[in-house]
Amino acid sequence: MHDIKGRTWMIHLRSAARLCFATTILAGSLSAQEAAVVAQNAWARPPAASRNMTGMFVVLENHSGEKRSVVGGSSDVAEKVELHEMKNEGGMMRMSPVSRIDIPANGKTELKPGGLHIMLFGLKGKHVEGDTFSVTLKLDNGETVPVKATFRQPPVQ
Amino acid sequence: MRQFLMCLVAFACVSCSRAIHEQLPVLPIGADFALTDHNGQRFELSSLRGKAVLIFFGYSSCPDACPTTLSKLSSVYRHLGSEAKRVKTLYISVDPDRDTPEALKADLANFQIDALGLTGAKADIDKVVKEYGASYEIVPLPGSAAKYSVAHSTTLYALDTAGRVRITFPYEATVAQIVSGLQRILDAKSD
Repeated sequence: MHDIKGRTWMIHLRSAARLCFATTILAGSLSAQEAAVVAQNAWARPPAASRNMTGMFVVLENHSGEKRSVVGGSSDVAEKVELHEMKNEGGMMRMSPVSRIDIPANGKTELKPGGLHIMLFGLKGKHVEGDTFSVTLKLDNGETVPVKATFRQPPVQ
Repeated sequence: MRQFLMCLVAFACVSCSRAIHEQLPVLPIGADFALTDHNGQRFELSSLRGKAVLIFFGYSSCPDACPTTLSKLSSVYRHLGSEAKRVKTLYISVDPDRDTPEALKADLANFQIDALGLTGAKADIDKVVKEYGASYEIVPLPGSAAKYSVAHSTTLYALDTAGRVRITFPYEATVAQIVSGLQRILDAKSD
């Protein structure tokens, strides 16, 4: 009798453990899916042999109801990551650092040539077309956004 | 009869096209100059007589505008097909402190384009900048790893086979517009 009871308990315990495990996996995947800001289509031009810098372009989507801002970043291939903006002022191209890049609530900000971009300075190693790299962007609320990017040339109109 | 009419229409189109070519104005900017090319050799613009020439000003640390222009021009060369060998591009640095001939050569290596990177003494570059009505400004960037950037005009100058500026393209000009402009220059009778 005790044996049957003990076996039943063991079965309950195993089921509970499986349920806990499944719940943990599900919660993990949900939290990944529900990250407030997601990076899409990230790319950078392959740097010339003489350059140790390049600009990265990316689409940042904000799936939350609050405005978020990118305030910094780091990368596995660069010594320094900065936020920059290119402006065409009457035919003069000006590049300057910016302190933040805003992403509207439930909206997106596209970083593209001729505008906002992420500058990677002090590139480590040699990078050619097709190579991939990682960047981590830091948000104003302390969260981070993982970015997987590819070195490639942009399409020309 | 039908063939005759088609020939007549074709002739009318060619005549019309020639009239358009002749209307390309000679712009009151530009002049011959001499600088150092990306192989470290003295370069004179006059050595390119007989070719159409594209000129733009930039610098090899330029993160965006200059690579975009070079990508666009690579596409222009592809679209020109066999005519591409009649076009030379000159990429004049406005950052001679950082742009050695080697740096410009490496910069151009990423693009499929018949171009020469040009650099030189600041005074010589400034003279060319002034003659073409271009402009640039060194902008210190304290706190940035870039140290400084170079704000610069982005006009693309198209010279005819006699070295005269015939068309200026804004930064936004498309590949099709540049190809069309070059074909007008190449098709024009030298006068």
